[in-house]
Amino acid sequence: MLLLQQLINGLMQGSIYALVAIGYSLVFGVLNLLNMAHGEVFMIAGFVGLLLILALDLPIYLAIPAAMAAAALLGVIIELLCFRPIKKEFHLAPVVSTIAFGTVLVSLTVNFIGSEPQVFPAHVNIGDFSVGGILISGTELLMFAIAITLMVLLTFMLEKTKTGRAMRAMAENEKAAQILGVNVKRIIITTFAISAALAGIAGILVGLRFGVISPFVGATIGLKALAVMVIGGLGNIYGAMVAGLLLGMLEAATVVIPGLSPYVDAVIWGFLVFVLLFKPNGLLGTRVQAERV
Amino acid sequence: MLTKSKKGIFATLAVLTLVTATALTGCGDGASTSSSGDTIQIGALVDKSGKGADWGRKNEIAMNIAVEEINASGGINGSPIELLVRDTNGRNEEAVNLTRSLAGQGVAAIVGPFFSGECEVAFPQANQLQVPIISPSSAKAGISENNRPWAFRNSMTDDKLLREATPRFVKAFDVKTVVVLHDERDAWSKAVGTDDLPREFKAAGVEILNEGNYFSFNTGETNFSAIVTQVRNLNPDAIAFGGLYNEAAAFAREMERQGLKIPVLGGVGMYAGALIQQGGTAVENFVATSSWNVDSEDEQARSFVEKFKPQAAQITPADPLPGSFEANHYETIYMIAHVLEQAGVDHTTPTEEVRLALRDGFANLKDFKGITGLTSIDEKGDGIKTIYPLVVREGRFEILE
Amino acid sequence: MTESVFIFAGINIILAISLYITLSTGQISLGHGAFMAIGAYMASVMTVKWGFNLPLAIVAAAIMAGIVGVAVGFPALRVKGIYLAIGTLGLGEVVQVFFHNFKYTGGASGISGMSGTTLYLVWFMVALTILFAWQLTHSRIGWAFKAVHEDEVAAQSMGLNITYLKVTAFGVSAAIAGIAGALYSHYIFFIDPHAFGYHTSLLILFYVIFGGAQTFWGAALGALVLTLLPELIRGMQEWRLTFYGILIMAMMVLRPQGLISHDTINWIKDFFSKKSLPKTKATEEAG
Repeated sequence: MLLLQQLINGLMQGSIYALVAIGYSLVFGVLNLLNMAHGEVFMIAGFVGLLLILALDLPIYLAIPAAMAAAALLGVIIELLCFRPIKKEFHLAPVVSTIAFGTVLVSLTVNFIGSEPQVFPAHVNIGDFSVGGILISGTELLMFAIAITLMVLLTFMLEKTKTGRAMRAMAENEKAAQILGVNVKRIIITTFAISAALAGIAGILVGLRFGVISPFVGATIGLKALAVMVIGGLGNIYGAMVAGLLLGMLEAATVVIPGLSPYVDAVIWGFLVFVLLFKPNGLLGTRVQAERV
Repeated sequence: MLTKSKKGIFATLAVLTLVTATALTGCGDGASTSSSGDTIQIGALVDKSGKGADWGRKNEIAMNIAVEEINASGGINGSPIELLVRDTNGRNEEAVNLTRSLAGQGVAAIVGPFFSGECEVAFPQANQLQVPIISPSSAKAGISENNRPWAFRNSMTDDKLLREATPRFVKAFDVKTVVVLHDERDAWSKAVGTDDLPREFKAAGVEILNEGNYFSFNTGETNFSAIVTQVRNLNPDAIAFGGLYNEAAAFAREMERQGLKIPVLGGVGMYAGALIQQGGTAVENFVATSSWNVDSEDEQARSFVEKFKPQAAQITPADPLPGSFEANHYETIYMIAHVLEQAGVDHTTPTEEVRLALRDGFANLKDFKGITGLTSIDEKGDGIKTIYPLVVREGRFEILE
Repeated sequence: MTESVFIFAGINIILAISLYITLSTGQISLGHGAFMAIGAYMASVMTVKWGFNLPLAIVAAAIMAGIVGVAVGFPALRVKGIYLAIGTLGLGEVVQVFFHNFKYTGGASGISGMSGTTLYLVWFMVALTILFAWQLTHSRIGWAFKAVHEDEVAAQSMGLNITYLKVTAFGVSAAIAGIAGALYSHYIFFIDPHAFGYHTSLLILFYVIFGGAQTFWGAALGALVLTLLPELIRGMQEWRLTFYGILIMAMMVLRPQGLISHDTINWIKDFFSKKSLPKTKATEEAG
């Protein structure tokens, strides 16, 4: 019973990581570039959701899409400020630029709202239910369902729709895709918007589940999601999902195994280093990406 | 090729000009304070832009109230106090830089820094430059002791607070078994969680159910589901929590969710109005130790709370009452004024003499009456203060009898 | 500006040049905070616990960090690009956890009591590092680094030993970061593992990219500017971080290659030779 509950705890935490990592992966898969402000998009979406709930008394089924829209807009802004103006040959410049943008977002939040975590009103909590003595959070289950659904939808979109095919063509070869008539700029913007919206829904759901949102949560979640993406294999959506759930369960396992809880970070990052040593392209990574740098 | 590179140079120059221009305009308001000659300057190091930004801004309010009150009643032997507040961003390097620059500006003393990590690096600098430095917040044991004779703390370290609070807690809730939680990576949390709390509970004859396997969480973490599941399985009478109020509130919410209703004892970092604000009904029977009681009947304390509330409401509207850190900041300014007044110092006294007077005055400070009660400085340079174990009952802190 | 600002600036210049060396072989490391940590802890144990003097401790720090750097360099060969960046970041986190739990150096409580770093010592080491970097870039091995960066396959077919070059770069770079760590710990008096997390590693990357990753001069200038900048804009108070971030973003748009590039160096050379040109003409005419 204890182990089963811990398994559920781990899976639920893992679905948060997966959701954020899928967004990372999507941008990386298409552009071969890292958006290091992804964690901060997660954070801002949480705050936008909270402010809407507090100011307009928005019900959560409206607050969630609103937070996603705000996140998508932020994603587009990141593309316009940190990626579009910089030539592709300088591939480290966007890394630095997006980290700097993340700093700006945190600093603005601290100055306008404050450095303390802000509390979600208790009445918006979706609530929990219990199955045979196992406690499951409604919010987390929703998050898990969304992660699975989005993974399937995104895969379908990438395989079957015109936009998806264009994205994949760009991932292979941007110049060739352009020659073949793909509207590169539009595809890039779309990718960023979708990616950021994923971080956005994760941001508000995490806020609802744990009741608070802090300006500094982006760095923690962003870094973990980065690890998840690399473990899963860069640009691989299934990989991000599998690795996310795996990492969530690994974290729960460090609490279950006596004496391991102080080493939780070493376990996670050590696992990443271990995976890279034996599978340099991640667990499910096939294409050799990111040759350069 | 040449034109392209020229364009680059111009861009570079443009950026550099921008930097210098802002630097110059920026320097204006920062430097204007150093020239005034008819005041006694006191430096203050707070974190106004980093992880402790809300704390830092409220610390500044508390100190300003004290300075205004003292100046309104004639200053120190007729000389008004001028407070030079500097923002460390919570970073150790900045704390070093600012300690040095404030010392160079001739301040009588430095109040701060806020975090123990900053104190670890700022205290040696102050000691070397021979300027008194007094932190009103740091609670990690041994820092002032390592930096005699110029470093002091007007705060109580947890070992002293918990020595008194733990037996009371054990008795009040009839505790036989506890589970210990802390953050292995945080020096303060680790000291409270692996040394102070276990030691005091053992001394009170309480069994620690996870001996040798203290659960460790990461500061900043909000997901405590796995830890609470594990704690529930051990079924203790109470929990020993070595963490700040943010984590305590997150932990409490998860306890409530999983239906675990037991009392919790924490150190000085767990006492804050925000514990109740963030934890709601979940923090019932949480006991925090403090040297400040916000409901104090003392007249000066009540006047301070009244002046503090409206200003702090602009920073943290949901939690405008002063906590122990703010009370200690306010009190520290009064302590400095008291010592200087006794020594007969005014603005004409040479800086070295002022600093020596403060150093000796602080080292011998006994039973100073401030808003937190009576304070003495012990031979390690740390404060000995009144102790209040405070328990949350129906959304309010009460003194645990 | 106080002395300490220039001490930190010097230390950051050494760190930036250290990262430049790994980057010059095309390997990106986000784990340099860890090499700095190893140097800082090694030197601190040497002076505080074992009673050695600071110069010896600095040498030991360089050797220890260098050994770890070489040890990291071999597995790093298998991993490329972003995988390497995140892998080294992970390694840095693992090193941090190690020091958090390593009782001998105080664990999370840290270790204190180090002293001895002076402004002269720091800038003497900066001069040495710059001299070393200058020698390196103008030596055969420096050219080989460049060749590996440009095209690994071509470099290999030309008979260059890629393994040797890449591992050497990692080792040398880590050793220099270790020196910076030793200097840092013996100025700031106290270190704990928090001082060397990924934040530190990312800041070092900021210095190099902001200043320009093409030459070590760029890396050094980037470190200098970005260390002095927060001091210069102190008057902006809590808006300083916002401004700092926006400035870096603007810089990446205007000069993605950084403040100094190869072109800049050439332009400076041209500028001085042109200035001397009319002079010689004039003297000729006069003659």
